[in-house]
This record gives sequence, structure tokens and C-alpha cells, in this order.
Amino acid sequence: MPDPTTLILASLAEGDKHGYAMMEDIERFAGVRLGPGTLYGAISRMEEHGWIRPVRTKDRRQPYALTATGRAHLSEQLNALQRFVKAGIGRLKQA
Amino acid sequence: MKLLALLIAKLYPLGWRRRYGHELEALIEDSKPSLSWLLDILKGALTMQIKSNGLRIALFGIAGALIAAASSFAIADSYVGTAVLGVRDANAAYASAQQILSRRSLWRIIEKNQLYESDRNSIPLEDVIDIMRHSIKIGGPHKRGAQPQAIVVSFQTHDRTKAKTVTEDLAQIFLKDSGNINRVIGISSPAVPISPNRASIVVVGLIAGLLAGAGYTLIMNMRRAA
Repeated sequence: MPDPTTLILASLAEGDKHGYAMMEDIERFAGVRLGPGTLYGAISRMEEHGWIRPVRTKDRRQPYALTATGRAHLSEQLNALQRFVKAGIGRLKQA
Repeated sequence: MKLLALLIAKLYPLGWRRRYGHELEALIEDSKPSLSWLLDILKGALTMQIKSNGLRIALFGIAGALIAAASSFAIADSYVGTAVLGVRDANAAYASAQQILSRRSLWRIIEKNQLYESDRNSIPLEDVIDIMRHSIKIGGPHKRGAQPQAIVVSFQTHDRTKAKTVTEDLAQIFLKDSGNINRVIGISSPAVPISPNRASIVVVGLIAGLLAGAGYTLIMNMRRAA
């Protein structure tokens, strides 16, 4: 299962979301329920890396958007995951 | 449960809470927290505390380790002399051991080896002998399903040389007074003290220091927040 960072980036690839919406979305598409500590630990790290940015809002529920760097990082992660899945399935077929 | 989650969220470092605190609180208010959520928030708060205040917590840890190391050197080394004695009947040898270690024979060893000199001037004779009795251990190398063929007599003291000589004296008393003990198989007195275990003391000091540092940081954060 991908790490919380990849899951959050994948969620934001669909569009801007606040924390609760990300959690709901990740549970829907990946079947993983992230806890608030894990989610916000990852959000603060990703903001430091410049992979996501806060979207201006007056609401307490702060939405985040994927940056170009974040999109590139997500793409890199998903490609690596794809290679891993392909290699794993290939080996299973050989066995 | 929500209230508890909000309280735990206050354990995050102040700087972090200024930036993300209101968002995290909004998220908690929107959701239905469970026990695993509470633990997740707690884990997140501790991780952020270590990240933000790692240096302070590490300094507390180092201070704890140094204090523990200094204290460990204030504790006198303890050495154990050990005699392995061959027996005919181990059970009978155990049973007669306490009788053999009579008040008179122990006092003779105390005087001969000049043991417990400061105690002898300040506490009654009986108490000095009791101290010695507590320093003597009698046991045996128990073999599963077989009668042990030896018993082990050990004596613990702060003086390595005395640990050996007193053990030799005890072995001689057992050999002389017990009909079940037929030979001295070996007497040893390792050069390395058995206590204090300074490495363990330093590790305990380090952990205590780290915990104290984390506790201090949390209290300071809560005070600032209040």
C-alpha cells in the first residue's frame, strides 16, 4: 500500500480538498482510513517540500492544491509503483 | 471522545498549532473520533514535538545520562567469590548449610578478614553477623532429572581480595563440618565487579532524561497556550 504522502497527492490530483475531504476520498479510492495525526503530519511535510499549497479560504477547513513539483513527485511514485506491480505479477505468472 | 481528541491536539508544538491547529480541530469536529484516532493524534503530536524540540529533549537526555554516569561511580563496586563444592547428598548439604554457618564460625571469619570494620563499631554483633549471612548465597547447579553433584557457595563484598579469601574460608568450614561435602572443586573471584552495572544505569538515566525533556516541553507548550 502506498505511503500517506502518495495517497494524499493522488487525492489532490483530482482537485483541491481540505483534510476531511481528503480522508473520505482516500478511504473511497484506496480503502485506507488515515488518522488525523498521520494526515496532518504528511500535510506539513508535503507543504515544506512544496508539493502542495494552501488555497485561500475564509473557512477553518483549509483546502490544499497540488503544485507542479507535487504532480511530478506523484508521477514518479506511481511509475515506480507500476514497475513494482508489473514485476511482481510477472514473477507470479512465472512461478 | 471529541473533547479528548481536541485536548490531545493541544499537545502539538505551539508553532505547529499556530499554522495547522485550527485545521486539525475542524477535522476532529467534523469526524467521529475512535480510540485509534486518539492514538494517531497522540503519535502525531509526539513526532512533531521531537521534530520541533529534538535538540532540547536530546540535551535533557544527555544531562540524564551524565548525571547517571556520575552517580554510578558513587556506588562502590561489588565482587563475588564463588566456591563449587562436591557433595555426596546435595539435599542434605543444603539442609545443613545454615547450621554450618553458625554465629561463631561467621564471627571468626569476620575477625580474621577484618570485615565490616565500620559496622562493627556502630551496630550490635548480631546485626553484623546478619549482614554477613545476607552476603552469603548457597545454591546448586541443578541438573534436570539428576541429583546435583555439587553446591555453590558465594560471598559478595566490595573488596575483591576479601571476596576470594572469605569464600575460601567458607569452603573450608563446609568441608570440615559437613559430612556430605567431600571436596572443593574450584574457587573463583572474577576481576570484573558484578555491580553496579554502569551501562544499564547510564541507559536508564538517558531514558529518564529524554522523558523529562519531553514532559518539560509539553508543560511549557501548555503554559504558553494557556
